[in-house]
Amino acid sequence: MIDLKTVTRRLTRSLALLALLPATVTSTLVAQTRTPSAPIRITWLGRVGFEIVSPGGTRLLIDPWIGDNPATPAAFKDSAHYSAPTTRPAAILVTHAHRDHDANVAHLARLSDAKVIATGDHIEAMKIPDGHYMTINIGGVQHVGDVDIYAVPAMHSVTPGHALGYVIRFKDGRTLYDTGDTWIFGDMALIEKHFHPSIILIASGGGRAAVGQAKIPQLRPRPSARIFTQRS
Amino acid sequence: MHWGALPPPFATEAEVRKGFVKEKRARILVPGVETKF
Repeated sequence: MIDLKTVTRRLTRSLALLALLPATVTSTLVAQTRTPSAPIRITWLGRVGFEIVSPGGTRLLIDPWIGDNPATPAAFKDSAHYSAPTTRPAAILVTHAHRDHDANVAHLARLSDAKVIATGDHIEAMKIPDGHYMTINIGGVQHVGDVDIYAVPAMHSVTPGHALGYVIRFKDGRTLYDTGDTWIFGDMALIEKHFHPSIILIASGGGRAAVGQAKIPQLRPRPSARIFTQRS
Repeated sequence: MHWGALPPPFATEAEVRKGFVKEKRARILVPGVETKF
């Protein structure tokens, strides 16, 4: 026969286990989505250009103005880099229709056979041939290799189209936010809420401006987050 | 025509270096040098 003391002890233990369960599941999920599977590799190409290689090997270019960009190293001006099977990009992301972002996109797309990702208006303006682009708009997503690419707003003048930022979600759950050329704006809070950026590329194209995290209250990167600033 | 310029900087590079770079939460990139995460 079980006495009252035993019943109370067993009930307390069960409740304690139940209380632990959500925390355990949450911790596991966080660990699964935030444990890096392999490095994310980022190379700045000068001004606003970046080459990003995902843990799975998907190679992306963002705003690759390299032709007459004095900050671009010679190795990254070499056409062979963009056509070689091991280093050619799978996609070229373009934030907006300013020369220091899109001047070399059509040429690089022909060299590499990469898909150009930009707004439809901007794709037309760049004269990217059919079959060589993937249009996107704010709130949209495209999938390339092992990454998902989301277009988010940026506050910046441009014709045609709309200035974009991009969020890249990697398979291991990490996310990279390229703000594009932008002023601080309220939707950064939504970007923080929805994507929790692990890596943030800030002040793209901002001349000598470097946007400090503390100055953007909308973004609250976790301790593991990293912010890149850049010199023009 | 001036392309892609932002308004006056929100924080100077020196401030970023002194704060987030020191805390290893921000890095100043160098063109052509790969950074791994």
